[in-house]
Amino acid sequence: MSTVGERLRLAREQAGLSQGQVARMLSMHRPTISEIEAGRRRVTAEELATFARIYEVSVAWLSGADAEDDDIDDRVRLAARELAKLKPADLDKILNLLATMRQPKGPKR
Amino acid sequence: MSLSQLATQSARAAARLRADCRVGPADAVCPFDLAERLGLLVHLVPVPSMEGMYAPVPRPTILVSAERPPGRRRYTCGHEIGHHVFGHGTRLDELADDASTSWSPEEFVAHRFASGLLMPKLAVESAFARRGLSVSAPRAEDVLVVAQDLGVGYATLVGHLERTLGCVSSAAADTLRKSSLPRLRSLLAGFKIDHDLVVADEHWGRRPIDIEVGDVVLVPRSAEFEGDCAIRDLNPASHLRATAPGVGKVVFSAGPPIAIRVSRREFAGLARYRHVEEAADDR
Repeated sequence: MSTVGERLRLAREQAGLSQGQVARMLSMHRPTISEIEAGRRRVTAEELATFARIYEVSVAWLSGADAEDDDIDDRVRLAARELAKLKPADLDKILNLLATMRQPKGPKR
Repeated sequence: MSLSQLATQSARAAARLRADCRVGPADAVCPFDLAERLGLLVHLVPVPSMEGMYAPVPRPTILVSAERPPGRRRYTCGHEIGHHVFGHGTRLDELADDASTSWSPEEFVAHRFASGLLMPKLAVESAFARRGLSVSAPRAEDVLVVAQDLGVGYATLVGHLERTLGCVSSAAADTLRKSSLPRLRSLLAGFKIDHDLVVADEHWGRRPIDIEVGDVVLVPRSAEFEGDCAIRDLNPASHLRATAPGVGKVVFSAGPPIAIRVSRREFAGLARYRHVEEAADDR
């Protein structure tokens, strides 16, 4: 299981931003972003929500909460079957990206 | 439903969306900006083996391969917006100009929707007419200039002129397809062009000039440029060369200033961040 810092780094890279760009957006120093991603500085709930908003991922995914047990994977895999040329590694990239947007498990209804 | 009914339905939906978003009937449009306005999340992804994808869950998202030419990326984005507008489920797309691969009514609709969104008849005719060019007997360099204005690929516009608008004959379209784009770019510029070339002057529409680092924009000598994302040079021809991600503007002798937006080559990430300037300590 990855740490919050590792997930923050992954989300930032997925958004196409450098540490310096994020630092500028949040009026922080670049080393602060680096420290957070390395797990050497704690992140407040408020900061986590801000990172989630900037990176367009769910707070739940950043926090490592269990994802909603939905059928995203199955739907994408089904759609991918139409494409003979889609490489398995590329499908994994797509599934991993969609997973970062998932919401936490809700109460059973 | 027949093919022609599907085509009409797609074109009408594209026209409606353009009108809803206050895009003029003759204006070119950036599909990435449009998707954002619709609340869609748009990711450019380093996934070479597909063109694009639309996923309605966990939230409406469009993925576009970052490793395709810029015109193709925009067309794919328009195609995926089509899937969204028509309420199609998760779609992974491998595109061809004539949508001949993995044909289905949904793919045909999305394909025609993208054409209607990016290349409606009025916008195509206007782009040729503003420059005093013939839409029925265009030269290859004319098609390239107009394709850049509309933000689509050269071959995509040739196919559209031939098959959808019926402006040019199949024989003329075949001749146009034989042109070498690198040669055409260098011919237009008068010097060697390594990447993409855009010809922009007072006839340019309202769409921002979206280019990548290394691309060249030919501009009139009287044009003025403001910004840090490109350098201005008058030799061997008056042009701008994109040097860094960012946004600038070019002012022509007539008409409103036009934004120039520069991204890294094959930028991968959220589309909205593609023009964010690099931080000083990132370099």
